[in-house]
Amino acid sequence: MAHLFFFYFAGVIVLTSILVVALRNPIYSALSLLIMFFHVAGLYVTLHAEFLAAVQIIVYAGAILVLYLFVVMLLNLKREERYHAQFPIGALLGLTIVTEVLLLAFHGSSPPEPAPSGTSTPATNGVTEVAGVTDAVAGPALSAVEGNTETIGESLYTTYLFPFEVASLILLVAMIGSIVLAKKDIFEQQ
Amino acid sequence: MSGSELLLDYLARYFPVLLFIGVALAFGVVTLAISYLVQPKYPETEKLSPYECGSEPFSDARMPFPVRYYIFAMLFVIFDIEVIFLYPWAVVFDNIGLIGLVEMLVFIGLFVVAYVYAWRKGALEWD
Amino acid sequence: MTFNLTLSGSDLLLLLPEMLLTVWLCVVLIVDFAMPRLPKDRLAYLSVGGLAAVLVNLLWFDRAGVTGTLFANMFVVDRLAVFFKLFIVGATILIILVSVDYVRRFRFFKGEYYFLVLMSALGMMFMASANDLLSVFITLEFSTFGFYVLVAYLRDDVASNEAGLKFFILGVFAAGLLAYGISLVYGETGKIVFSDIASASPTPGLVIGYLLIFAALGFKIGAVPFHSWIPDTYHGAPTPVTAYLSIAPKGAAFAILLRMFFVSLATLKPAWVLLLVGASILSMTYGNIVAIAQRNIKRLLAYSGIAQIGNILIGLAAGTKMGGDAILFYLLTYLFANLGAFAIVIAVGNLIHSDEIEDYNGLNRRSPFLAFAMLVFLLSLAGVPPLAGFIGKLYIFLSAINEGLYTLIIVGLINIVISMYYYLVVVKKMYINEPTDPSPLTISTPMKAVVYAGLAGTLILGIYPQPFIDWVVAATLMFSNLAGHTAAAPTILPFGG
Repeated sequence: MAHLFFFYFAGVIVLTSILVVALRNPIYSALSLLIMFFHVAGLYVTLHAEFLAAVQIIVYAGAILVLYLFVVMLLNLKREERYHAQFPIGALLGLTIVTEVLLLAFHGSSPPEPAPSGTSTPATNGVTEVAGVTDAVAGPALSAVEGNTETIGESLYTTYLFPFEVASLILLVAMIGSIVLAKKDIFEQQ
Repeated sequence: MSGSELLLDYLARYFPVLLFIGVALAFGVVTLAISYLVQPKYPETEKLSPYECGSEPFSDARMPFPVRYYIFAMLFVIFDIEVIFLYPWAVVFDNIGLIGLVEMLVFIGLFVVAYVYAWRKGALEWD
Repeated sequence: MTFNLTLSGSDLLLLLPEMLLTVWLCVVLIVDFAMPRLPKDRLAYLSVGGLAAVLVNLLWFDRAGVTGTLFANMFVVDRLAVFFKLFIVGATILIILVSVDYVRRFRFFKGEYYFLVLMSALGMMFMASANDLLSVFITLEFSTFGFYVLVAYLRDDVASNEAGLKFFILGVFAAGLLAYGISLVYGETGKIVFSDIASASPTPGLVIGYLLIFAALGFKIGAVPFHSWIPDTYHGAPTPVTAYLSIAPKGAAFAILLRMFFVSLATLKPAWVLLLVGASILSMTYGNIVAIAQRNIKRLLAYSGIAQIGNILIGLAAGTKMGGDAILFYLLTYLFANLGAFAIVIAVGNLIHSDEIEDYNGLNRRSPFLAFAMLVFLLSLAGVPPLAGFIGKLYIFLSAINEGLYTLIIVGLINIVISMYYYLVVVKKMYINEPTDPSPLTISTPMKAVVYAGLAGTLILGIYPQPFIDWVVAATLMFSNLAGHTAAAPTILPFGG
């Protein structure tokens, strides 16, 4: 049953990703991207990453996609102009990824190398064990009553206060910068 | 309890979300379906052609979008990121208390400067 | 989980320069939009005033020896950080002064220019204090964001737009490499603070992670083979921005490189010496050889900048405290000479609207002062005694000789000869060739002030370097454990004697 969720979300993600590149109308591509974003958010929820799921929906589905749509409409891409002879590069990349998947499939069951300092290596679990993904996440994380957002909040506003405040400065410079570069026809009011 | 059962238990908390998605989908599908079912249908060539103040349509409906929209989209992204930082802050506000409030005031204070700037420079106006 | 964050007054004191600058740049922005009738030149002087206050504050930190760490070791104030902050603030003051005439020609967004310059300065000051990989990433991005906008500032100019786009795309790519490298290092060690990851043994993932981080920082300093953005970006960007880009971010990136190589990777020195020796030789040789063919003075200085970065990498390859001293000293000499040379390019560009080397023909007839100053700066860049560049090169070569990197020295010396050629070509055009338009050139007061500052710095550092050597030696005391003459030297025999 739990596997069902994973395969539903993963399947829709794969399907809509293919549609994004295969559909001829760029607007439809963007809309399938939207569906993909929602399902990625669903996958994050099954992985107990609620905060990431919220980011996925608010930022990616909400804002980034609007930006994409605006670019598409701004440039007014003609349907046939999007395709160039990129088969060799695509084939090369595809081959690389297929090799990686095969390597993971055959070596994924072996235990990951012990970390040098004795700490856990969060990146290697979960990624290598695709089939057992639900078991891997349903372990200790569930026992914690408080959510992932709360944990993030508590470390973000204490330990990582510095990056947080620098982030506000980055937003400030991004806002001024985008106005300086994109706003048309602002002449100095003399 | 096994891992899978725990996961299901956890996902059950998301049932309202699922319900909401279902209602949203149903609303769209049902309204379209009803209007399709009850509308009178007498198709004619003239009726089916695009109507443009009586004259023949002479260009594609997909026109380039004014670049002005783009800056709104960009500012929207920036505001959106701001909201993302507010979200965990609101969740843990009870725990972090006054110092958390000060942190967020500094964060928002810098943002207000940018906002007032955008306002005064006319970046939020249409022309 | 309990909430524990304590920030006392003395902790906040460590942040005082940055907080001052943050408040000040908000003031500059507010004055810009609240008083639209105010001449924008005033904003330049307002910015310089704020930076001067920050400079005084930092000098006090330096004299009083204020040190400490904040935010769980993410942010460090030590002598090294204070040195680099002084370097950055000094460079920013001079850049704002040389920008005044140039900005006057902008059609719009004059005030925002100063704001963005201050923003970049703030980001680079944070970089100088970044003590872990997370703050490295976020501060590096922060400082680069201002530059993305500044490089593309001339919106009507195709070259500037192209420069901005190239810089942005390659910069974002480098940011991706940096993030990937950091996650690998974190994945392998579970730690991010520089001194904490020092003990990790080199696993393949860790090595790839460090290589990716080095690639991203190499992009930032423009070392070969990560230099491809430099020529077009320097050429297309507004000239004051080019000058700024060629100096301040290099200093800030070297603060991070020093911390990474001399703290996190100190025990693995034999493994990375070869990497840095290679990057150094490639940068020096490529930069100098390609510079010969340039017809545009900005491109010439861009390639000469790549070569200078190769020289600075010699100090990093030496991997000793003396190497660190030499890097700091070299950066000081580079600041005055390169900024001075750019000041003259800006002055001449403002007057004759050209950056072609051909148009420097007979500059001596048109303005003996500008020609003489340019001569001094170019000779200092080439490393001619008794100018600052000579001491800088001497210092950096000595640090390499102590480590037995003789091949590097030989390549470096050959490159000095090559660089001498193209610098002297410019000198010949200024002094011997006849001007096509002999009308005299006059420059404004702020510009003159910067040229004088550059001349003073270049001459003082060359003739009486002792106080500055004492200063850089004190600034790198944290690397005292890398005393030099160590057993590491014989392991790099392929490049040894």
